[in-house]
Amino acid sequence: MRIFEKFTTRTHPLDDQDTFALFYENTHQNTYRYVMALNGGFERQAEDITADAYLRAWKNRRSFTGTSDAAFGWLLTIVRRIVIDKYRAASSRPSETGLIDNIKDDKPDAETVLLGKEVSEQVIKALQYLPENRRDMVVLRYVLGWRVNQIAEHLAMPENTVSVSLHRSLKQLQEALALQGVSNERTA
Amino acid sequence: MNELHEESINSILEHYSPKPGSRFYNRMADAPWSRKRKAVRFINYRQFVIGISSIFIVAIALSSSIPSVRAAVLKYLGLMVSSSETIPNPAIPAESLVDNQKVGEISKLAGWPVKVPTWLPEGYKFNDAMYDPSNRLVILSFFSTRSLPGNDPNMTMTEPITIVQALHNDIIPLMVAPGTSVVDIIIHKKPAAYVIGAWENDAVSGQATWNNTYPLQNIYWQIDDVYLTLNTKDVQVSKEDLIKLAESMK
Repeated sequence: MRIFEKFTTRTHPLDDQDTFALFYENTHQNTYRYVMALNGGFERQAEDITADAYLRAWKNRRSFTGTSDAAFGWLLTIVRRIVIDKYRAASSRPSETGLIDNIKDDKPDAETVLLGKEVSEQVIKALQYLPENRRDMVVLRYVLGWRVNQIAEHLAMPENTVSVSLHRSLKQLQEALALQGVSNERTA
Repeated sequence: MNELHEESINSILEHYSPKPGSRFYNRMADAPWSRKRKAVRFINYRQFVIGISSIFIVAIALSSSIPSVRAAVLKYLGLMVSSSETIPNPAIPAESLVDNQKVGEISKLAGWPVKVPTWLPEGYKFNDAMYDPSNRLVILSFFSTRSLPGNDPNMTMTEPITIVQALHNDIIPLMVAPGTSVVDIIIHKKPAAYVIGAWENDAVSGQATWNNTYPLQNIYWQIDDVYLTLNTKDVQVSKEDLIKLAESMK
């Protein structure tokens, strides 16, 4: 074996306590952001989902066979599964076509939506009206900063589909936020 | 209505960074991989060892106060006894290429005896040693400051030599890309690698890409369980100098 091969050989990225601890330390904040954006900003629920995801990942770590870069994607898959298993049934999300009416009903007093934090919360809440797959794409792309090809690989979809869905989702979010009275002036 | 632009939505999402609360961290402190949990176990073990050691030391001290017992104990332990109470003690060399106190502190943080050079290319002096706990690696830097052409003594340039060491090699400073052109060399009769090139980081994408054309000389090698790399872009330092420096590391 050439020496550089020795230097590029990696051990299992999650196998032992130290490597998993490092993985947890490096990723848990982004995982939490991902969960918060997916579940509409409910903190306690997001903390539970994040914690459950890591505990489940620890339990099943030997079934993971990818690189350390792929480990985060694997963890997000676990997160999605937990969200679907535990919380989807409890929540009653409107269908895609019901978006505009629902947001109209929830329209807050325009005067209360002034600060950036509130706008950010409005955006996260508006995300919840997107269908699951598209919400996931938007969060991966804009909250976690993944590239389109990474998202396509992660969700096993063609890149083109992801691009088109992202574009549509942003338009939809834009319309929804406009109906809620969230504007550029208020974010300034 | 002045709608939120797509860019504004992107920016809001990009900057959305809630952080878990103490409830989450309290729960995670008991997780099977938690370092805190490990530390508590380690403290208990350490307290046990300290307790046993203290009892042993007290017993030795008591027995040493009786001359005949002391002689018997020393004989039993096979300890070397000096010829008198005062004997010559060769002085420890005052000069060192590194700040020994700092390297000692870094070794404690790192958990392994940090390797230091006993030879440096001409003009180089120890600059700093630091431990990066997130990547669990030690960085030693050595600077050479030279005057630039001209008569102004304030016009100088500084070239660094950087040595990185860790007990694992799955991090960027200690890795090369698969397509890197590697020259096999020998350090202390063991295989090592000499490489020209560098990782270039793209802060926007968060990706690092290996660049074969960047004029950085690197050596990668291993001493016992410690993986090391040293590098410099100083054109006055030759490949042979770097090998000699690597050979001098202890």
